[in-house]
Amino acid sequence: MNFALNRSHFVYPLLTLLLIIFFVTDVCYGTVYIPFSEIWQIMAGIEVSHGNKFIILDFRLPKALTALFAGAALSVSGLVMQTFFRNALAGPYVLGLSSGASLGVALLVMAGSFFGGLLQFGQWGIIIAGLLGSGFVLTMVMAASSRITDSVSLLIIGLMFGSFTSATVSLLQYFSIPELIQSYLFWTFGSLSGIGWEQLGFMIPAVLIGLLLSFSLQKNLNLLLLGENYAVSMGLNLKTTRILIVICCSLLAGVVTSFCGPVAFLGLAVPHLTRGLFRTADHRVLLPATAMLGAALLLFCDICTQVPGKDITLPINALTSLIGAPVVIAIIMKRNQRL
Amino acid sequence: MNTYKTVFLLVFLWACGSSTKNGTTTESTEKKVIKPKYARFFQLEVDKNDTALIILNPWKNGQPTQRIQLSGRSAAKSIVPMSTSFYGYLELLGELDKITGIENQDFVYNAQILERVNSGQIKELGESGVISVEMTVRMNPDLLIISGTEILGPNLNKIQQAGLLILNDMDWQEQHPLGKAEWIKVFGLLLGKKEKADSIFGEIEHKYIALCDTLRNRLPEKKANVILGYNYQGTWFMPGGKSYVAQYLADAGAQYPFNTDTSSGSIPLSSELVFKQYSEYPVWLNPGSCRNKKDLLLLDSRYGRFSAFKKSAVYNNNRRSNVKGGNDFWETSPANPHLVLADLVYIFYPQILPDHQLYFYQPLK
Repeated sequence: MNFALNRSHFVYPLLTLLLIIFFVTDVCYGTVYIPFSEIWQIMAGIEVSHGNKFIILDFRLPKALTALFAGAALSVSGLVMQTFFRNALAGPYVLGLSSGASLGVALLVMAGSFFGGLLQFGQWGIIIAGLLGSGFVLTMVMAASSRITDSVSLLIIGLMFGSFTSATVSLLQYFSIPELIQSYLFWTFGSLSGIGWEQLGFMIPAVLIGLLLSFSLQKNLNLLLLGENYAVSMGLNLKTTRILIVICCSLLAGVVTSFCGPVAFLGLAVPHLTRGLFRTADHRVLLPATAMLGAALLLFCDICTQVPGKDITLPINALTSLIGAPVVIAIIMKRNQRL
Repeated sequence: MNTYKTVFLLVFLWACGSSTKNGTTTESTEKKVIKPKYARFFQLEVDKNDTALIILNPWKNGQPTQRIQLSGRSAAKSIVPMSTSFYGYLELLGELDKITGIENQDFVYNAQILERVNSGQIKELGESGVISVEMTVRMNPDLLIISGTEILGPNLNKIQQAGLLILNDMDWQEQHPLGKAEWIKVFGLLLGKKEKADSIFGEIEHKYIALCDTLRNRLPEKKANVILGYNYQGTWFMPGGKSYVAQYLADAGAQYPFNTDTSSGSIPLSSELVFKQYSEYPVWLNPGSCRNKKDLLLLDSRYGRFSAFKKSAVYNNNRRSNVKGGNDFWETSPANPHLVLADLVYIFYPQILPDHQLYFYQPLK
């Protein structure tokens, strides 16, 4: 019996507990103090002050759900990318998806006429612009991947798309007025709080489809670990797998980036964390564990955006890196000592 | 529902809008549209039972972007101005004491507001992009005023969903200084001081126009040449020919090299071009945040070769400012365009207003 599967017997319940604790804490803890008894009443549907009801039901709860699903989505897409490219530095952004989303949003915000007035500004406008942008890059990468045989070249092409789009964004900023640049910059900070129930109704199903797709690929991913040539000799259809992987990652990373802005680092760090915790490369374990750990970590980061005793909240994007980087360094140091 | 309203409004405006002139009203069978005299981005819609304030979108050919019912609405008693540029309107209306929250105190000049922040009567809620949703919803102010943009951003969206009134103030998009100042009428409508706002604006308009008239009769044949802005990493940003700054310069009788430009934002120019073509210009305005000549040379020692620098004719709008970066120019000049115009006229043609004391501007020493 696989050691990792044994180990998961007690790590899974622990992760589940952690997820629940972080979720509840995230809902209970915020800038404004609301006593737990009142939160309980709000949840039970008992009428209390309108302001607090709004803060809990329409602000903190959607925010926590967003953290839950965005964390899982970004981490899983990072894991799949790392396996697919056989590169420990790969993350959901190597395909240029987030740059594509940035370009879409930048065009909408700073070159208003680009979409010919078809797209209204506002939350959905930004989301659709982001989806169009990442969809555009996805199409280009798919076209490239059907012609190119090795994944390293695909990685480089993805990075080039990224450079190209960020250069376009710089140009747009150069000719734009400060107020519009500011609107765009706020988007790049990333935010979990902008998502309401209406948006969740779209984001959660999209993320779930992406997650299911990635789970259905777990055997293919395990084969890919052996190297592409060996995987093909074992009967893997490389072309189909590659296209499915690109779709799956674009769905996960593209949707989350369009809704929340670029949330940094999580996709890169969580797969390493999970491998360190479970000490396995088996995707049957890694995929669900990465999803849970990613969700827990983003929830934890969201809790930390609230500076204790102060009225300010920090941008989530800075927190994910601030918290994530030391954790990954610690895990890698520990793992290398053992060897 | 919103789309339906917008479509209805558009059809209505199309039906009655073409014959509308500035400062006039248009009668239709039921509704009247009252347009302001100079401002382009708000108007009133009046029918038998209801008056509504309509905010128009500067980026979409003045289509309606917000509709605020005025009938039955009580005057706002607590206000959160999300930009210091609204303080001037509130001060003139005597409503500064209604402020319960601001963005933050770092760039505030107004002493009364700073004092009330320190005593805890005014809360700092964070800049409009990162405003604290929870604190704002709990504070529940009657009116939140933001510098209107097309995108509210995630946090303001949430606040709006909580039912708070957010006014999209578009005064910063107005091209005529009096158009900006006319927004005091919008503040008056929402604060229950319509008559006072109308009469204050009347005075401002009178002073501004009177100054323009005086100038017109006494303007020398050779207009003063002026450049603006400063070099930043090889690019020199000058205000566009359709910006409100260009309008001020035209009203003050100055010769601005980009007055035929058609942009309302700023024009990025190669610094090389500016150094070569405009360094002999006699007057230079708004060189960033500099307070004296030494600051200016620290930014770029080549500024010393400009004629305006040598003749001490570099003027900045920070005469009334504090060390923390608060500048009264940004707070009260939108509501007091006549003071800005008088300063500029004095800078270009001191002989026309010999007794004028500079109010916002100061020569760098």
